[in-house]
Amino acid sequence: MIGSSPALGQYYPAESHLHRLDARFKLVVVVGFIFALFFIERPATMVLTLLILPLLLVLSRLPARWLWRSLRPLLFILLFTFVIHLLFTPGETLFVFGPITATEAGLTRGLFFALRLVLIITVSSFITLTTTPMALTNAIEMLLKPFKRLGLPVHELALTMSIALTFIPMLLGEAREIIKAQKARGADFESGHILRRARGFVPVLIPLFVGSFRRADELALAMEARGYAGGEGRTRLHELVLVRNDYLWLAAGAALIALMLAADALILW
Amino acid sequence: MLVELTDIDYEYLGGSPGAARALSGVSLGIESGEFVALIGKTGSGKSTLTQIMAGILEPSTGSVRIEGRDLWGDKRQKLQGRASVGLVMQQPERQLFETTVADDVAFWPKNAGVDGDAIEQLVDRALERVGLTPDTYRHRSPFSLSGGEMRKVAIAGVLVMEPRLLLLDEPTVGLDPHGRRELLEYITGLNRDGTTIVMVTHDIDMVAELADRVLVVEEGRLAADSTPGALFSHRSGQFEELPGASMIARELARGGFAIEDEPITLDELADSIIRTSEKASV
Ligand SMILES: Nc1ncnc2c1ncn2[C@@H]1O[C@H](COP(=O)(O)OP(=O)(O)OP(=O)(O)O)[C@@H](O)[C@H]1O
Ligand SMILES: [Mg+2]
Repeated sequence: MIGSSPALGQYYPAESHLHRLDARFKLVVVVGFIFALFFIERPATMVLTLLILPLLLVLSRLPARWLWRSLRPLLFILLFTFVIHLLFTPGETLFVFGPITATEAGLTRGLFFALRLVLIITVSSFITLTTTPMALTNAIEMLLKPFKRLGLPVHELALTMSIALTFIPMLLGEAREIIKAQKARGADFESGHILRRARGFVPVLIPLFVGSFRRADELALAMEARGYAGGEGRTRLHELVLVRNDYLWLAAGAALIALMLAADALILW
Repeated sequence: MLVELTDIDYEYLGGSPGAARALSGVSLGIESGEFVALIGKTGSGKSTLTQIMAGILEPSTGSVRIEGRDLWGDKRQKLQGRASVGLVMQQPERQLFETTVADDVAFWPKNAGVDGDAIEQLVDRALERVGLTPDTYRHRSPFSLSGGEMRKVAIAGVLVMEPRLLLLDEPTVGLDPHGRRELLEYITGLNRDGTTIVMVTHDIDMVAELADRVLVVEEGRLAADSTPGALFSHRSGQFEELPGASMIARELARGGFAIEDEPITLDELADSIIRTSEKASV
């Protein structure tokens, strides 16, 4: 239930290797990993790659339960991906359900795409789970610095992102309150088939949108009122510093990605 | 007993590093017809408590009974229990979402399966109850209204099912003095007609004026369950915040004008002053 879950990928405070690792490296490794994922062709490699999840859990000292609960809202999308592939891939019939046919090829494809999604989502959420939003935006701003010369408003982008990141828990909190208010008026979010349930969220989404636009306006005003005038010449509270350890971790990450690609090339099934 | 809470504990984000105990060992009963004020510092657990009473939050431990039915015992009972409880949350304007005022107010009866004609009547009655002329407001968009009007529509959306227990979480915050007085008049009117009221507020004067009973929440526990008269007695010094009238009475006493009883509202204060001075002049 929404009422008791942490937000998607919400920062989990702890002392761990992953927490200490420089946010820029985490970003680079994860982007590399996701990129590599798209070169993987075999379902078996996907399954093997799942092994990095327990590894990441150990390195980050994150309880599995927290990860699970922060990702549970996405279950529906995963299921949807799986079912679409299962039903709409041509191939040998696995079983027939009314007018719909599930195929064997669909089963493997469905698993393959669902697993890829699981990996992308979980691995990238490890960034936000182990990095404070502030460190993360700093890292993004620094990584994008070279593009500043090309006219990319790097500082503004980073700021937008950090605001978006802080807005998410706020929006979730607001959603929680609205859900409660509608429940008190007899709204039912828990029963009925998927379509009915999806429609049931209209009374939550509309106030949420209205509220977030108002929030955005207020925030813009409040920032200007406190003298915000863009990125030039602004100083920062925390500068990122690289230590040697970080490079070791970067190397380890790269090695893992290479291993994954190699496995995909070598496994024959 | 209309509401009966037994040994309620509530924890937000139970079992995670952010877990926060919001209520501990709260037991209380509310009789039909009472006007109960719920007070306490920011973050003490007032909103949580009202949401537990409304059957919106499930207590971590303990039981909630509405008219004898155990809300979390089984699902059917829960739905039945909820139907007789209305909850006006903090900033209830947030719950507005329909294209017209009438549709928004009709949300609860529709969910409850009330049929068409009856819904219209209920909606009109609820709008009138909060002082909005149905003919003027029915077809307007809730988002085109002023803040105070939105608040009224939101409250009408809760009154519409004529709940036997009405829970209000700081309903007057953000209203101008006139809107505030109006709203309080509707609420006392409802109470006179038999609706049980539980109102969260930070306004001590309002408590003194309206409530028969005050519950004080402190760090998730029920610190006092008393009447305004007893709680605000400046002689007992039981409660640090006092209504304006009590403070005046206290200052008068300090200045040598001792009033015999302990007025907590302005009316009572005026009466006491008149009586005391009449006695003195005899
Ligand atoms: N969604 C939530 N997640 C985590 N903790 C929460 C949540 N909502 C409330 N709390 C915590 O529970 C405690 C009680 O909150 P509650 O909202 O009931 O207080 P309140 O008495 O209504 O305060 P206020 O007068 O400010 O409205 C607070 O310490 C608060 O931080
Ligand atoms: Mg509150």
